[in-house]
Amino acid sequence: MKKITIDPITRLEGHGKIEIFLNDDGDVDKAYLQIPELRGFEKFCEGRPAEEMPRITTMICGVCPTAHHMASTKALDDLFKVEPTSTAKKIRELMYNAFQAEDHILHFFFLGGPDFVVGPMAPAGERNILGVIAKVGLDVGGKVIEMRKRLRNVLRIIGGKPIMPSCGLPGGVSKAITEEERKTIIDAAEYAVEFCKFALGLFDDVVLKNKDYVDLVVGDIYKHRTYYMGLVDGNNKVNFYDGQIRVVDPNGKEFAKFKGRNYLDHIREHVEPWTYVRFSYLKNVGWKGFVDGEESGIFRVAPLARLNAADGMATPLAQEAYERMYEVLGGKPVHNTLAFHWARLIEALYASERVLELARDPELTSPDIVNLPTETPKEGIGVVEAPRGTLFHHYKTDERGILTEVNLIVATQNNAASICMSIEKAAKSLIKKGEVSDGILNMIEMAFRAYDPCLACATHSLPGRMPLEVNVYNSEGDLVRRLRRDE
Amino acid sequence: MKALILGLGNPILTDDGAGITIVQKIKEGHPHLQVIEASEAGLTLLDHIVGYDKLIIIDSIRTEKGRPGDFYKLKPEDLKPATDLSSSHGMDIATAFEIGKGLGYKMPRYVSIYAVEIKDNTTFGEGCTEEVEERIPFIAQKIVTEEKL
Repeated sequence: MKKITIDPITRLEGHGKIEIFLNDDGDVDKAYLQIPELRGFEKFCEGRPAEEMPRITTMICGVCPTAHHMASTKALDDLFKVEPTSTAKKIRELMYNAFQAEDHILHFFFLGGPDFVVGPMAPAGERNILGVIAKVGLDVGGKVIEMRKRLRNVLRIIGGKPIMPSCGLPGGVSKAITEEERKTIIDAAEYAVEFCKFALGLFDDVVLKNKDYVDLVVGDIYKHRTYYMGLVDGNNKVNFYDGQIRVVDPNGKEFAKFKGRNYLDHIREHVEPWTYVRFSYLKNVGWKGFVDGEESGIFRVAPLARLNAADGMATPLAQEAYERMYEVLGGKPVHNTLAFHWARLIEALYASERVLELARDPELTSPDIVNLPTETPKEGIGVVEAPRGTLFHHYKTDERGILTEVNLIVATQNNAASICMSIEKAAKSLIKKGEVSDGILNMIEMAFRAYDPCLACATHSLPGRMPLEVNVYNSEGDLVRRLRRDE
Repeated sequence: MKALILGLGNPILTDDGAGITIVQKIKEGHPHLQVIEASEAGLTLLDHIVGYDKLIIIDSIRTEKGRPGDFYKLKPEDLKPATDLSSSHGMDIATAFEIGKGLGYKMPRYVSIYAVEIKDNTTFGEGCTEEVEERIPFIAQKIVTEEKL
């Protein structure tokens, strides 16, 4: 087969590109996912006071600024060796769960959900939120927006600004919660819990009762046996805000459990010449290429991975839903990529229940919201579970707190290798003897969308719009097919 | 007629912040105008624009043949081809508009989109490149005149 050199710089149009190479028989030899690089983020930060990072890092991604803000704030806690007050932790965790719930529901209805609710074979023009609304009714569409509005209001109350939160301080938060605000938060949380229950019911009716969809979910095209990683609390239950990092192997057995501070003992980044994303893998298993199985250090993060890595959910309704999913899908761990969507809804329910729990906590309105730092800063690491997976912020400073080194491992980097594997596997199953069907773009994208990847974050880049282009080359290296929606 | 001027961009990504710099310039010269700077995308923009009769969006763009500093006037429909590619994350403004209409929100009837051709939106930095920076006062004035603000 003709060898092609893929130069990442040549296709910098702001697209994500999937390049598929066929062998002489017209079957898929390899598939690559490339995304544009944004340069100089670490450099941009060096020389600045570390306290600016919770504000700066919210600008990396316009879709989930709260995740960066929280990871950054926790990195400052560690940097200044200051423990947040009990109230501050509760405020932070409440806010963070409100964000998770909103983000997950939005993803399901607007991004991933259309594949299921409307159908993967539906014309592209229908496979979007308008198609979903047309299918489930305006009333439901209105409820999604309403839930989003109420939760965003909670974020605004706590975060201080409508979109980009600015409440995180080393040792606490900048603003206490009033009793009046508590009432608003409880109201929003109750609405969210009800809506998430409804969403799971919808998933049941539309997906689980439809044999074609179920076949797709449990089928082989979208399945990989990998390790799984997520944050867990003291009882090994899923927690988005804090805890230890737990990794289970492809059989579901605990492989590692460690504090965020020690991530470098467990996680390494692998570089490939054809893309700027750095691929995370488990150091103690090793990089064996884009393959799955126990021998490969590739691990997955985000909803399904978190549920696989934990022993359960910390709230009752979510726990019920968790048990049901594993019962239906045949036990733990579940390796089916499309189950990410199901797990996402379960997590949204947990997040909503958690907001309600914390909102009812008497301590929430205490004025004791910050412990002032007194130690000299040197190095700090903060870890949270972003909607898309485990997120690490690592800062080094001089004794004045001026940044000398910054490293971020963003959620999607942790899934990047699996995303590539999933795309390649889908491509291999769907392209045979040079036959590239029209439905293929959708099917490949479904593999991709299940992860809800934020390619923006993965290259420290711009918010949310990452159009995809799929190019298919024959064994001579000639472009035989380009798949884009506008062609 | 209630009008909103919405500047979009990421102000720490060099030229990507051009839209924001332009609306800042407009606000400087015309303090009475309703101006919003936003670094978000998709549905969040809907929150900003509902209730206005007239909407002017200013953003950056990179096209195959454009020269940094050029600028174009577009309509939401013009954005569809660029944005109809699979969205891996978030939602484009054209779809956000459709959703707003579909849900019965009071959407602006008059929408103009101004896009300035930029040089560098892939390096982190505050402030635009020279080629773009020097065109900003001119573009700001042109928009004010064109839209009779």
